[in-house]
Amino acid sequence: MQTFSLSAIGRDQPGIVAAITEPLFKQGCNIEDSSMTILGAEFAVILLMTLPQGVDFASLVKDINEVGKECSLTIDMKEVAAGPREEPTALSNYILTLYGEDSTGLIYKTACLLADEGINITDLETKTARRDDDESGEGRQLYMMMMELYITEATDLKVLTSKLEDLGKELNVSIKLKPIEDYGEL
Amino acid sequence: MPLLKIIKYPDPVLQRVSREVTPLASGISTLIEDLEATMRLHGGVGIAAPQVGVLKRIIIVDVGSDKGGHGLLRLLNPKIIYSSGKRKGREGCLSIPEYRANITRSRKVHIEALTPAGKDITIEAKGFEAVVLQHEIDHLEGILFIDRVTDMKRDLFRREPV
Ligand SMILES: [Zn+2]
Repeated sequence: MQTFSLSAIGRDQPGIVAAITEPLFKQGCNIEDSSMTILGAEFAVILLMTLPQGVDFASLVKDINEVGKECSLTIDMKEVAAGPREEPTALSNYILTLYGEDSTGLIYKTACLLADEGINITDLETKTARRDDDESGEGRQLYMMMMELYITEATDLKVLTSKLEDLGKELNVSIKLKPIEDYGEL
Repeated sequence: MPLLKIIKYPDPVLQRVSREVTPLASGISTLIEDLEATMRLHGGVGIAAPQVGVLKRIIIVDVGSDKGGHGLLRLLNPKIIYSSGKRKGREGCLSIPEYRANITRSRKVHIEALTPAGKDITIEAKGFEAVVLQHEIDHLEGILFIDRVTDMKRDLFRREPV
């Protein structure tokens, strides 16, 4: 069976999920996995689906593109390797928080450091807020980033912590790494 | 002390709301003793009456007394009257042994409850103890930790076989 990924991005509006899934439903596609989110006013969805035997692929693509035009969505559909990835994603066991003045490259530099250490980022969220104490009139922003990480025993936490500290100094932000505690069975 | 059987998900009893209890009513003190023995046998740090199929608002919590814990707490009709802060931690449940999840809870809670003797008490708990109290009080409302998962992909997973 062939597996396809479909991603769509565009301005959020009511009915957008129904519009995208309608042609899939009509052609008997099975949605295996999906995730959607809204950032600002932008909607984004990615889903994996399997197509039934003998589906009219050309007409499916045509229908989906029609929806894209109607809803002003950028749509991409392509065949992907079937099945889950070989290594299962592990549950995050550390939370990294970063606070400070916004500047370019915060995510990039933090992600590079983590990649060098072989650490998997399992979740990433960012927020910016106007600083309450800002009197410069330059609209300075307070930047907050929260990353969930999966750190294996192979990582030397002391080394990692000191590297993060150095990075925090370099970027003039505060970076903290905290384990997610295990409370057991309650 | 007879051991009580732990009710396992998806038994619908776990999703029902428990009733308030009157301290010193008949059978309550035996139930409290049995609940505590059952919790200890399973090596747990908390248990709620609905977990043994009794829909009464009784919880037992014991995270010890170091790290600011209150030691053994036997609480009737517990209520959260104040909560603040957020922290994420990994939880399991004796009633759902197959799963673990990362759950966001309040960092600090104030609880009002009755002791088994019928005395009013207020408890200020933080950290681990606060999390256990929130988990057990959820049981009295028929809420399970899996109901608190907001992102299944990120936060819920099958427990590795031990
Ligand atoms: Zn539980």
